[in-house]
Amino acid sequence: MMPREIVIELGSEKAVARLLDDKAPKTCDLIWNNLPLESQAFHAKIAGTEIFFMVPLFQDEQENTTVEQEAGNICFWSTRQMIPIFYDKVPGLGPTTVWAKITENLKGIQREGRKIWMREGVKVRISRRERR
Amino acid sequence: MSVTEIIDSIREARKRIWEKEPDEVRKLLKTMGSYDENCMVMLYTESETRQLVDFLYCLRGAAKKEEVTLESVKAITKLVLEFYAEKFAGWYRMTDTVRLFKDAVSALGQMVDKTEYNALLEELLLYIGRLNLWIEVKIPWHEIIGTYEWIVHGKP
Repeated sequence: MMPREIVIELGSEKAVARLLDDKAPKTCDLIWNNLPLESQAFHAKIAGTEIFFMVPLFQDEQENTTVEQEAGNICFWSTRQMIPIFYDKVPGLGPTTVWAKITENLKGIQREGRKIWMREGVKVRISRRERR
Repeated sequence: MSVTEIIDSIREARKRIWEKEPDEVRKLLKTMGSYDENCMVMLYTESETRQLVDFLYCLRGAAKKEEVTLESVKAITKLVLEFYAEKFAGWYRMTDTVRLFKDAVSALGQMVDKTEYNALLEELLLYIGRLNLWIEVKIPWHEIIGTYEWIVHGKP
């Protein structure tokens, strides 16, 4: 089966991410079944090169957790119902579910991430990538 | 209102503010603190709404534990919501949120099982979390951080 993919529209950038169905199946299903999701993107104040946005979803069970984050990791932080996107490597603040990984246009997300550090609240939309 | 009606009304309020900035945030921008300045009102409300989400998230987690009774979490949640209702009314005049907290306290008084408690807490978490971000986006963090680093640490 082909891996499921999502499109991330962040400000003026568009990127693609692959869902980690084999590692975080419950979180992947939760997000996938609620797409498209729209919100406002903010920048982490403590964690480093991380942007995040809120979604009206709860997922208490953590899966595929990691503390140290790599560029392109897309996570779920249950405490605040947030989806964090790490656009560069960071040591991390605590264990977080990693449920997707950016596979196309990470550089665009990095450009937008640096802009969001200067001015927050840009629109973000994640949707299913439909295959032709 | 019944428990279900109160939970539904909080859900509707959350949906209204999900994409549209709440009137309450516009009012907060006109609420003044010491020396007729608005800055600390925004910084404090941002901080306190964020902290309240953490408190309520912990209470929701506690309620999932078998050894924690419904009556215990109801009593603590009532104290927390009444504390914040009084503070948000007195310090910041956040009338919409205070009304919502009072409705939530009324629901707590009526509820009979943890499923209802969880549903109420989830809606409160989403409402306050979203409100927090509407406040956060009004604060010019980048400029504040830059000014702080310049004054306190001498960074250019």
